[in-house]
Amino acid sequence: MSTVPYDFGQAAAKALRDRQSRAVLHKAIGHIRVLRQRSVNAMPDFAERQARAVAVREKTLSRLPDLLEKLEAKVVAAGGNVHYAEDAASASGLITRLLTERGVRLVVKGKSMVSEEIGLNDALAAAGIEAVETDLGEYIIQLAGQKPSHILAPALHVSKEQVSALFAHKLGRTSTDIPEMTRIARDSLRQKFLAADAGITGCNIAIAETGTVTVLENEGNIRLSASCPPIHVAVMTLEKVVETLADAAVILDILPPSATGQTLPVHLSFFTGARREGERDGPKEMHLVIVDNGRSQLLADPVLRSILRCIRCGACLNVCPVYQSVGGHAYGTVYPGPMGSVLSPLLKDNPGDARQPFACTHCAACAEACPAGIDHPALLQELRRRISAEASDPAVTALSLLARHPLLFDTAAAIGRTFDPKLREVAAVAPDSPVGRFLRGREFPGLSRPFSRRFKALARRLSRQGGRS
Amino acid sequence: MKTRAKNAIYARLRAATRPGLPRPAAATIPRRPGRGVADFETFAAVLTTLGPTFALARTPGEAQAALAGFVAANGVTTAVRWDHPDLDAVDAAATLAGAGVAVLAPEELPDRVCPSLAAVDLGVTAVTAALCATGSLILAAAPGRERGTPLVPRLHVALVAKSRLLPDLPALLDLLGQAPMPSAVNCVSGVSSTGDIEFVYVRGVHGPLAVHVIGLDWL
Repeated sequence: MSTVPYDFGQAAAKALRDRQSRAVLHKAIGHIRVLRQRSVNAMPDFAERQARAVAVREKTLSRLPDLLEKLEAKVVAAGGNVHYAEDAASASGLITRLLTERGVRLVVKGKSMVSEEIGLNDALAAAGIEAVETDLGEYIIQLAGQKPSHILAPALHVSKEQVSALFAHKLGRTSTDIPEMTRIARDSLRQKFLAADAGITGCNIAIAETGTVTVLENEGNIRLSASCPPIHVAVMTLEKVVETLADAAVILDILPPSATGQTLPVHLSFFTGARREGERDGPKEMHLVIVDNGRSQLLADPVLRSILRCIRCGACLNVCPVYQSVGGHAYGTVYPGPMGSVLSPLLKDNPGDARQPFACTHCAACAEACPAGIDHPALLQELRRRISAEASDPAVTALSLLARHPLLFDTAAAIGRTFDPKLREVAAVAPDSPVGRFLRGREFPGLSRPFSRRFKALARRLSRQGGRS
Repeated sequence: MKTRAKNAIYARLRAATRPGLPRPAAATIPRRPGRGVADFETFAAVLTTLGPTFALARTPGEAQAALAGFVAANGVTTAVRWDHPDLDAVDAAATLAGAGVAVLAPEELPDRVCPSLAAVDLGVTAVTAALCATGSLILAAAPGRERGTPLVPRLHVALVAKSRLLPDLPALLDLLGQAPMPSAVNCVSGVSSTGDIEFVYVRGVHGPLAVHVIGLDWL
C-alpha cells in the first residue's frame, strides 16, 4: 500500500483531461443507462419490487449472525467447508494457504469485487500460483495490468483499439472486430478452464436455508470455474446472505434489471456444497470464505449501516455525474461511485482518499436509482460531518459559521463581491492558507449578484417550467 | 486461529443485532392472477429472442426427427448425453447412434469430465424445469447428469417436457425448496454473451455457441 496519501482531486483532474477515455466512458455509460431505464420503465411495479428488496435486506441485516450460522451449517451438510476472515490480508492469506497446501498451480477466477478488495491476485502471484481472470472485461484489465473501473463492467473505460493492441501484444493474435476479439479470448481462456486446478468465484447471494452460493453472469465463465476444476473457492462478504429461497427471489427480481436491464442474466447458478456421491464432475472440494473487513463494525452504526443493503447492481455508478465525468480509476478505491464513496472509507483496508465522500454533488440520482433504497447523499453527508469533526479545517469551520448566521454571510459575501468577486485573488495570494486550499479545486459561480436577489427570478422561471430546470 | 476470527466476527455481529433491536420481517413476491402462464407458445417466444432455436414435437417420432435433423444440419459426429427419463422417452441415445453419431454415456466419462468433452460436438440434456417468463432452461446436476455436458461441447440440445414448464423464477425457487438442493442448479436463459468491449453485444463467449430446444408436447 502506498504511504503517500491518495489525492482524489488530482486524480480526478487528470482523468478529466483524458478526452479519449472520457469519450469511451461516456458512450458506454450512456448505453447501460438506457438499458436500465428501459427495463425500469417496463416495470410498473418497480417501487413495490424495491420496497420488497429493502425489506429483505433489512431483515437480513437484523439477523445477520443467525443467518451466517445457518448458512455455515447447511454448506457443511452439503459437503462444503466454511472459513471466516477478519480483514483483507487474512482473507487472501487464508485462500493462498488453502490452495498452496493442495498443490494448486493454475486458478481460473470469476469476476469478484471482494477478491479485488482483499488483493487476492497479488497474494496468489506471490505464492507462485497463476490466477487467470476469466470474465472478458477482467481478462482485459488483467492483461493490461490495470484495476477494474466499474463494479460490473471492469473494462468500461478501454476502447476496442486498445483491446486490439493489447491482444496483439499479449496473446499474439488480434483483430479490430469485437466479435472476433471475443472469439480470441474464448480460445485462450478455454485452455485455462480445462487445465485449472481450482476455480475462484464471488457470490451475489448466499441462501442460508439451503447453503447455496448464487452467482449471476452472462458469459458462462463463472459456471465453468465452479464446475470444471476439482476445487471451488467462493468468496463473499458477510452481508451477502439472505435467509430463504423466497428472499433470494425478491433480490433476483430487481438485481438484473437494475444492473444490465435484463430480466435474468444468461447464467444464474445455484451451487450448493461439493459434488455428491456418484457425480463425475463439479468440485470435489468446495470452500466458502466469508470476509468481514470492517462490516461487522459497520453493522453497529445506526446511520451508515444501510450501505450494507447494497446488492452491487452498479446503478448508482451509472447515473452519477461525478463517476460519469472522472471514471472509476480516479477514486483510487476498489469500489467507485456513490456506493464506493460511502463504503470505501468504512472498510478496514481502504487504499483511497479519506475525502472520497466529498466527491459528490448531492444530486441524489443514485438514491433514486438504488433498488435497495440506499440514500447515498444522506450517508455521504454524515461521513463528511464525521470527517470534518475529526480533522477541523479552519476554512470549513469559517464557512459553517457563516452558513449558520445569515447576517454574517451577507456581510462576508458583500466584502468578497467588492474586492474579489470570483475569489481568485485569495487563492492566488495565499495558496497554502486554509482558505487557499479550500478554494483550490472548487469553482465558484461568482459573487457578482447575490443569490438572494437572483432567487426570485429563478423561482418564477422554475414554476413556469413546472419545476423542471 | 480459524475459530478466533469467527468468534471475533460473531461477537461484533451479535452486539450489533442484540435482543431488543428491531427484527423486521419481509414479504415474499405475491402471486398474482396472470402470472401462471406456462405453455410452449410463451416459452418459445421468449427463448428464441435470446438466441436458442426451438422445435415443438407432438410425438416421440417427431422429437427423434428433430434431434436427427439437428445433428445432420450441424455436422455432429460425437455427442455426450445425460441419464434422464425424458431422454429415454424419445430414445435419444438410439436416435443419435442411428444418425451416425458416436455417443458417450455418463458412465463412460473419466474422472475429469470437462477436458474430456473439449472435442465433443454436442451435449444432450433434459431439463428439471423451464421458465416461460424468461425462456430459461433449468439444468440440475446429479449422478449421470454431469455439469460439463451442457457446458463444454460447442452445441447443446435440451429436451423440455410440457409438464416441466413453470411460469417464472419465483415458481422455480418454490419448487427447489421442496427437496434437498442439488450440487448445481443452472438457470440458463439464452446463449452465453458479453458486452465487455465498448458495450457491443456479442453472443457465444463461453459454453455452447448454439442451443437448440425440443419441446415434448405429449410428456
